[in-house]
Parts: sequence; C-alpha cells; structure tokens
Amino acid sequence: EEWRLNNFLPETRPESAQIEQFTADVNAALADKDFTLTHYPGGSLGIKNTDLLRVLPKGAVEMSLMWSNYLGRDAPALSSVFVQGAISTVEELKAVLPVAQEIYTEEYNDWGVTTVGFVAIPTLSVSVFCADKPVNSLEDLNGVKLRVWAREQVETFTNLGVSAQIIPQEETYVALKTGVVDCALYPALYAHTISLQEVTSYASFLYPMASAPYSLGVATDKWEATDPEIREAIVTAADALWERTNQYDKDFELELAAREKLSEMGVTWGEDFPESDRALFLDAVSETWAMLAEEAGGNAMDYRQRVLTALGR
Amino acid sequence: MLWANLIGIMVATASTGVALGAALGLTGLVLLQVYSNGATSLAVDAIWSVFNSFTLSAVPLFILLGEILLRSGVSSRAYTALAPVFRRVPGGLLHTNIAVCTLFGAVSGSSLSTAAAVGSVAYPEMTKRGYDKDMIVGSLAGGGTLGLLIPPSLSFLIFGALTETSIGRLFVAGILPGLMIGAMFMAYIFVRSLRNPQLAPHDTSRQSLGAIIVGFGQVWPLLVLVLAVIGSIIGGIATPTEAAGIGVVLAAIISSIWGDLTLRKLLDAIFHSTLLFAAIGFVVLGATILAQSVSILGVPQQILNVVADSGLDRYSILLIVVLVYLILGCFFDGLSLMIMTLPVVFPLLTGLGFDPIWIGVLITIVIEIGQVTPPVGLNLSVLASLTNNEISLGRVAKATVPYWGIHLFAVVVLTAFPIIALFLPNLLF
Amino acid sequence: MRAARKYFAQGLEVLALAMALLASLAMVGIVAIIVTGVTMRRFFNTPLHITEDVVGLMLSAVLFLGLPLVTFRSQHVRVSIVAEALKARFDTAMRIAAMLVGVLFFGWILLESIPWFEFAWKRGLKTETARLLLYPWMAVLPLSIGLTWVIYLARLLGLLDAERHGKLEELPTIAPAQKDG
Ligand code: NA
Ligand code: NA
Repeated sequence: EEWRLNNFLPETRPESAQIEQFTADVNAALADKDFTLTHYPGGSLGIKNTDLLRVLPKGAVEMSLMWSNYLGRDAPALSSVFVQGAISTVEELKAVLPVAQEIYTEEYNDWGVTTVGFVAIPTLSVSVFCADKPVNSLEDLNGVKLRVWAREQVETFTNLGVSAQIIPQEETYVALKTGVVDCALYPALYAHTISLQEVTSYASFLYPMASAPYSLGVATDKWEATDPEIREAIVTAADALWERTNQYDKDFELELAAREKLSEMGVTWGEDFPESDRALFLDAVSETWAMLAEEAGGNAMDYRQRVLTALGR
Repeated sequence: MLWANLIGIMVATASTGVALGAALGLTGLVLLQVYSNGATSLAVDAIWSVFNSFTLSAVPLFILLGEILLRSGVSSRAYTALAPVFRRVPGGLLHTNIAVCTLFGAVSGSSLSTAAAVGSVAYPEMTKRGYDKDMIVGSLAGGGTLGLLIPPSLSFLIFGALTETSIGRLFVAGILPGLMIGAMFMAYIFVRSLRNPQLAPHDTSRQSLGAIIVGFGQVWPLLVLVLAVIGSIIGGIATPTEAAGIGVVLAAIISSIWGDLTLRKLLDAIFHSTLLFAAIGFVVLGATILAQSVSILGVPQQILNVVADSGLDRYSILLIVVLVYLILGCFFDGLSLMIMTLPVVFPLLTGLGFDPIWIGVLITIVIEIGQVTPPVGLNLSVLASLTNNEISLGRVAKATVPYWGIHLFAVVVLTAFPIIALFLPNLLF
Repeated sequence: MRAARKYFAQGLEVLALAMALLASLAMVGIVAIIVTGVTMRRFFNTPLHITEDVVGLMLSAVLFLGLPLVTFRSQHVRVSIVAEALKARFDTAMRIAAMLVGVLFFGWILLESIPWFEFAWKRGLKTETARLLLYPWMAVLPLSIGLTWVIYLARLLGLLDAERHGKLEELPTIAPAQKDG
C-alpha cells in the first residue's frame, strides 16, 4: 500500500527536509511491510491548503501537513488560538504548546481527522523591510503603505494608525519594486525566498513571532482501519520529528546569519523598533486577539482562555 | 491504466462536440470517483478556489478593455492608420500582433490575458481587412505566450518562490529569450507571407507620406492608453492585476472622447465580454477538475522520478524532461503543470549542473508550449471563443502548430547557447 | 403542447438572460472596486481591505452567472472535428451523446454542490479577510449549474431546439445584433 503525504511547503524549506526524514524513518521501520509513504512537497498534489479540512476526511489523500492559520474559513475558531505577536518568547511558547496541540487535536477530531504528529516552526523575528528609506519607529510607519500577509496584522496595524494592506506573496515583489507599497512585513529568515533583498534597501526588527505548529493529519476512519504496526511506526517517527523540530536554541543564531546574508546583498539593517513601540504593538495585538476570538464565536473564546491560562495571563 | 482511462474518456466525451469544459470536467469527475476513493466533492472545492482569485480577474477586464476599443472605433482607426506603414512588409499587420503581444507582455503577467486582450481587438479588425483567419489566430495564440516570458510574469514569480531563486534575475532572464521568440515569430510570418501573399493582403490605397503621417494621428489615443496602463504599473499606482481595472476606465474615457463610445455600446461591450469570459472560464473550470483529479495522484511526479533515476547523461535527461512536458501539456495548462512538476524537475536539473535561472526560463517556455497544446490549451480556447467558434478549437490548434514548433526550436537554441538567457542577469546582478 | 414548449423555452431564456445581466453587473463591480481601491490607497492612504475577497467572489459570479446563457446560445468552446466528420451518418446520435455528456457533468456537479453549499450556509462561513458571509455568493454556483443542467436536459428530451452554433456576425448583444464600425 502506498500513502501520499501532502506538504504545501516548498521543497527548499528546512521543515520539508525534516518531513522527508520522517518519511524515510517510516519507510525504514516498515521495510518488510507492504507499505510506503511518499512525500510530495511544494503543494505538488494540487490541493489548496485552505481546503484541507474538506479534502483530508474524504480520503482523497492519505496524510497531509496542516496549518491551523490557513483553515480559518472552514474552522474560524482555529485562527484565534495563536495570534501573531501575542506569544513572543521561547518560554511562553513552550508553556503554550501542549495546550495548543490539545486544541488542534480536538478540533481536527471533530472534522474526522486524526492528528498523528506535529512539526514545530522556528521562532521568527518579523522585520519591516522598506524600499526607499529606513523605518524603525511606529511614527515613521505613519503615512507609509505597508504590506502584511494576514488579517490579524491588518487589524493590529490599523489600530496603531498604520495603513496596512494584504498583498499576496507572489505579488509582493512587484508591488515593492513599483511602489504600490513602500514597506513589507517579513521574517528575515525567509526574505530571500521572495527576493526581498532586490526590492528593499532597509530593514528593522519589529517583533518576535512564535507560531502554531504544523500538524500531520490522517482521515480518522482511514487511521482506525490501519494495521496497528503501521500506526505505531508512523507515530514513533512523528515523535522523533517533533523532537527534532521542537528546538529553538539556534533560532536567533540563524536569524542573525540571515540578516548578515541580507546585508551582504545590500539591505541596510537599522536600529530595532524601540521598546516603547513594541509595547504599543503588543497592546494592539492583545486587542486584536480578543476581537478575533469574539468574532469567530463557537469554541474560539474557550480556546483563547485556555491559551491565556497556560500563559499565566 | 489511469492514462488509458484518462485518454479514453476524454477523447470519447470531447469528440461528441459537447462544450469542452464539460468533457474535461466529466473526465476529471470519473477519475476522482475511481482513483481517489470517490472524492468527487473535491471538484467543487477546486473550481470555487480557482475563480475566487484576484489575479484571474485581469482576464475578463482585458477582454472588456479590448471590446470597448473595438466598439468605439478607436482600434479600427488605429489599424487603418497603421496599415500603410506595413504596406511593403510581407505579413503586414500580422507583425503588429506579435509586437503588441510583446508590449502587452510588459503589462500582464499571464499569457491568457495577453491573448485575450490583443485577440479581442486584432481578430475582428484584421478579418475585416481580409487577412487569412488561420494566420491571425495562430499569430495571436502564439504571441500570447510571450506574456509569460516578458516581465512581469506569474510563472517566474511562482518559480522563484518555490525554488528560492532570484525573481529579479528571472525577470531579466526572460527578456532576451522573449524578444528572440518574438523575432522568430515575425520571421516566420514574413517568410510565410512572402511565399503566399494571399495570407496578408496588401493595402492598395496609395497614400503620400504626408497622409500617412497625418493618419498616424489616429494611433495616439491607443498609445496614450497603453502608456497610461504601463505607467500605472511602473509608477507604483497599481499592481499588474489592478492595472487591468484602471485600463478599462481609461479605455472608456479615451473612447468616448476620441471614439464614438455611447452608453449603449459600452453596455454591449460589458455584456459581450461577460459572456466571452464565461465561455473561456468554463474551459478553465473543466481543466481545473481534470488537473485536480490527476495531480492529487502524484502521477506526473512518479513519471519524472523514473527519469531522475534512469542514470542517463544530462542532455538525454533534459530531452526526456522536455518530452514529458510536451505530453503532459496535452492534459494540463501552464501553471498547474509547473507546480506539479517543479519539486522533481528542479532538483533533477540543478543536480545535472544546469543553471537555476536558465531552468526557470526553460520551464516557462515548455509550459507556454502547454498553453497552445490541445485539448487543454487555454490560449487556443481563448481564440476559439473570441471568434465565437467561427474558427474551431481544432483549427486554432492547427494554425498554432508553427508557433509551437518555434518554441521548441527556441528550447534547442537556449540549450546550445544558455548565455541568451543568462547574459542580462549576469550583467545586471 | 406547442405553446407550452414555447413558453418553457422562453422562460429558460429569460432566466438565463437575467443571470447574465447580473454577471455583467458583477463585472462592473470588479472594475468599480479595483478603481476605488487604487484611488483610496494612492490618494487617501487608506487601502480597502476587502478588494481581494470581493473581486474573487465577483469573478466567480461573472463566470457562473454567465454560464446558462452561454449554454443556451451554444457559445461554448468545443472540439467539433469528430462530430463534423460523422455528421452525415450519425448526426442525431452524436447530438444525443453530446447532450448526455452535458447532462451527466452538470448533474454530477449539481449533486456535489448542494452539500457544499449547505455546509457554508449552516456554518455561516465567511471570507478570511473581509469577513463577508459566503453563502449568498456561493449560491450562484448551484443555481447556475442547476439552470444549465435543465437546459441540457431539455435539449436531450427535445423540449428545446437542438444546439445551433452561431457565427461571429451574430455578436451577442443585449438586444438583437447591430452593425457598427
Ligand atoms: Na508579462
Ligand atoms: Na495544454
């Protein structure tokens, strides 16, 4: 039997290499069984990641990587578990992860999807990249057209009086090049993937971002009908995958290396946004979080409360 | 077995002469039912996602823009003024199709909208002037593909993001090959028309140079429009997709000042372009279901993996990869083909020592070939729609074969002289 | 009986036409919202956040609402080569086969689209950014697909005249064609 593992991340991402390793582990453990797991990175199976909660339970693909933040249309409560910027340190992240994993497992269960494992996302530093002039305070951001990538960011920046606009990833390059937007919010670690260094000259760090982990899901009826030995091998390999990715010691080092590399390619790194601005930003994020949870309704308020409790807030 | 079913059902349903979209879609539904555990509900999700797209909105808007110019007489006067300029050139106004597609490529990111925009004006204007219909549609379907090579280009943006290669270098790398292919298209038109002058009738009206220059004054409203649309992008006022919307408003303004656009004609233009888009969109819809039904099985990747493991030398592998794209091009259209195949093809070709930027240009050309390979070749469907099926899909496909061949020849030239793609990026970055 | 058949055909055409007019309205809406968005961003520094969502929804509306009339007027892109070749001997058989494919495809999609629509409706799903309620927009899909299915079925059962493939000279306009240029 062959299982396909759908992965929407580009093959070049470190996470994809980890998932490739996971696949190899499973296949090695089940070498004498009639079972192979095949990894399809880069979204090459053609499944929209926003549709996963519809596709996966139907058994159209056996296993898939899922990210709660992409699933907000079908499961609005999921998008208010982790709100960007609300969780910033590794300590906070570690406190929240068990609760978050519990919430995702429950919610996906309701959709007929069994969570067989998780993939952690490195903690990221989100910076403001600008084309023509250095921007490193909220005051500077006033009157600047800022590209963001998620609705929660639009809400937060609008609260702060900054005119933020969502521009899809594939249009960001041209938008910055031509001046449709002046600046873009982006993690330095991934900036080169959209060639940001070619269209911006200045960057400053604004906020740290801890992200919800990715989940590995299998349709529940499929999972329950699967040979226990196969299940065992998958879960073991997934645990190892989690252990490998749930490491944050090197994140800051990697961030600095990424900035260094961007500098070599012509991006000037300015001073970080001041602490006072970051405090204002955090307040705005809190407000957004409350607002989103309320708006989503259903389990969202409960999820938020559980995360807040874990954070001790 | 899958391929036998796919081809069998597709051929059987399509040859009944039913709407192509229904034939493709039904084939896809059957494949989903049989090979994907009955997950036919995916079809509805897939078609909803594909049209829920901001980027795709450029296609109907560019058709509308063309309709406005057509009905207001602005384009007619421009062509009349241009005709004497091309009097002595074999191929005449056919060359403008290629030139305008190249220019338009600088505005639009996709070959679908390029073919739609230029075709909606050029086809009626040139048939009126007695040009050979097959030559017209061939040059338009072929010329439309330049939209992907000339920056900005959707395929380079997606390629860059998926492979972490420089988008700036990719954009610049597309320029020379794009101009080269455009020049080859023109050379082909020139030679064909030289041997058979009937294809492009000579403008027999004798005009003095002065009259030509005066007549040229008729071209400038169109020029203003094109410059304004390009300017709105370069000036940072609008993204390429938004520029299509801006272009429509500008076209309406220009056409009511310098043309005879009436409210009635404007309404007709809107209504007609809506129906045209629905007809084209229905083919896209069917193609989407078919692509989803096959891509979810991972079949193209499996085929390419076999190629990767074959242990052949680099040029043999390149040849087989191109052949695989040519075959897959029958069933899939451009971008979905790229996303499906890139995770295997990119590491395979870089591993063999090909330059990543060069690979980007190569893949863009082969998926352009897919855009003009029937039955799922959207450029062909656009043209068949624009002629209201007066030129059937099959006839458009046949008329486009020479351009298909030129693309293939360009692949050979680029393989022999990779510098054509790499010269500008090496110079500028 | 003949009168009933005529009214039925007219009724279908009026419905299809009404949908197509709504589709045209959506097309105008796309232009309007894009131009408004660009203006607001450029001159008032307040970008519209709903542009992308709304344009996407309106584009779906243009396609689906336009579909019945395109079908009614037989303006689809099709592969005619085989059908033309077999016309002399198997004209009726080919026409029936074609209508059958249409009935099967639209019927199948219609069946799939009902639970799909119901899902969005019951859960009150909204677009991600603009938080627009999705089901009123999603309703265009089953409605248009349903009407198109009825058109194919009616042709198959002989309640509508067979497809007649038009010529370019009959450029579709809201009213009968007018010559210009
Ligand atoms: Na282009
Ligand atoms: Na094709």
